[in-house]
Amino acid sequence: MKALAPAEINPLVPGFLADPFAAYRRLHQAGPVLWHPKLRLWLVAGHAAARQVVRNPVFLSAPAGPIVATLAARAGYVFPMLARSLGVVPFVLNPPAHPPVRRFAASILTGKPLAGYEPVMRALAVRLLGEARAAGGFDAAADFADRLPTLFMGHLLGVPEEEMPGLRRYTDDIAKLFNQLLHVREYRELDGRLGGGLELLERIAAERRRAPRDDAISRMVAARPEGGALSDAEIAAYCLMTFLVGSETTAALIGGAVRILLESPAHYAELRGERALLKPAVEEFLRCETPVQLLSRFASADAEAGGQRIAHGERMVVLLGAANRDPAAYPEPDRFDPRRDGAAHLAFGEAAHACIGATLARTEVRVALDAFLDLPPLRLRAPGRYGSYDWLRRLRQLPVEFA
Amino acid sequence: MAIESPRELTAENLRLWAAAYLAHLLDRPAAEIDLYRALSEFGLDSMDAVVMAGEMEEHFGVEIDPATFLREATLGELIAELAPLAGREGR
Repeated sequence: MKALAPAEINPLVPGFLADPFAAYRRLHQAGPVLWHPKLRLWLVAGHAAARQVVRNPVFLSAPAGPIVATLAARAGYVFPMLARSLGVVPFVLNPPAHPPVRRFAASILTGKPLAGYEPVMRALAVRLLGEARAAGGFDAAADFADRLPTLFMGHLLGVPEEEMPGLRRYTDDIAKLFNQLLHVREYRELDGRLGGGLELLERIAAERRRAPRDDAISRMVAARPEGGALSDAEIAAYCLMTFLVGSETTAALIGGAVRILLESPAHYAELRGERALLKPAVEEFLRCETPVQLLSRFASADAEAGGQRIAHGERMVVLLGAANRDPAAYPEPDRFDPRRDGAAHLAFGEAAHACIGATLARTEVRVALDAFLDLPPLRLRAPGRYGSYDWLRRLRQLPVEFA
Repeated sequence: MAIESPRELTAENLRLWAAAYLAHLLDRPAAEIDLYRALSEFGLDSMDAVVMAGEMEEHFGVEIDPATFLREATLGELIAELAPLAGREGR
């Protein structure tokens, strides 16, 4: 007998991630792995079960590229830019395509020692917050949490700053690309915008080919991975997807952390005074405000997870945000507590698809918050507004003012 | 799949189109499509829902969220939601 999820809980409807925590509590009461009869897939909410699923190679990633291509064909379209882009995103690939793509994507992020990046992150954070301070109040999501990771990723890749507004236009709201239920109309619109972004990056790759610099695009031009040298078009795709995945998730975490701080004055004051607490606090932000809330998997053979029999071919949605608030793993799971010890959170996933930018993200968020805590005390001016993504809990607006 | 039916957004045309579309998708006679069953009971998967929402938008020129087709709502209720848009956004 399959354990059933309450039918009215649907994590795939738009807006679910603006406040998913009451639903997660109900799922935890019902069981760690639950069959959703309407969605016809498994919801994995338990911490131990989620870890079991991400570690078990029988459960493969939902292949977004072929899924979007099938959908396009059924709707009578082709989305060539989406196909190009999704082909270089490691977390939607499976073996044999996955390992080389993942290795190459990781090499983009680790081409230079992290210590060299930290001063850049700090300078960018100080600059953005200086502008915000001069303006009196600001939007902690749009003016800070969003901009810092895009500017940093632009620096890492080697996108000149004057090209950044253009790239940001092409990539605004692009996180919806990984939604489970995206409209054909939205795929069409995204395909067009991705095309613009790819063209821009391809032009920069061609420039670096003529005159290399000390940046990731130049290193990609010079690289000779297993499959041989990459074309400018392939480099552009890697850049665009690294930019998207790296900056959207980091923006989500910075915004979520700022919101938690401004909603809990005691922690805000404590962290302003004791910066050594920032490092464990980042882990607790990752647990409470997990950016990637949902992973999509399917069973490549009959298997077992959380005491349920998963049949070959069945789909699963691993709710990382729920797993990170499982009362069986974390007492009082909804309480933010930077001094908490216990199970490691699953915010970065584990095993084959563990986040390749985890160290970079941890550093960037710590540096960002350190600079934020240097500002005079702030308070929320209005509740935040979340983007409508089903996989990413990410604020789009969070207006704040000086207290 | 292109459905040949009137494109003016009226409750009757929505009913005609949806019955024809689902009949084709589910390979059953249109007369057997019970529009008062919950949409989720037709067994559309998320890809079906995305494609159907796209086709419906193109046919009638309205915006429809694919999640609609995975809800408890019946097609009758969906039509009631969309009907007031008739003459406003219809082609």
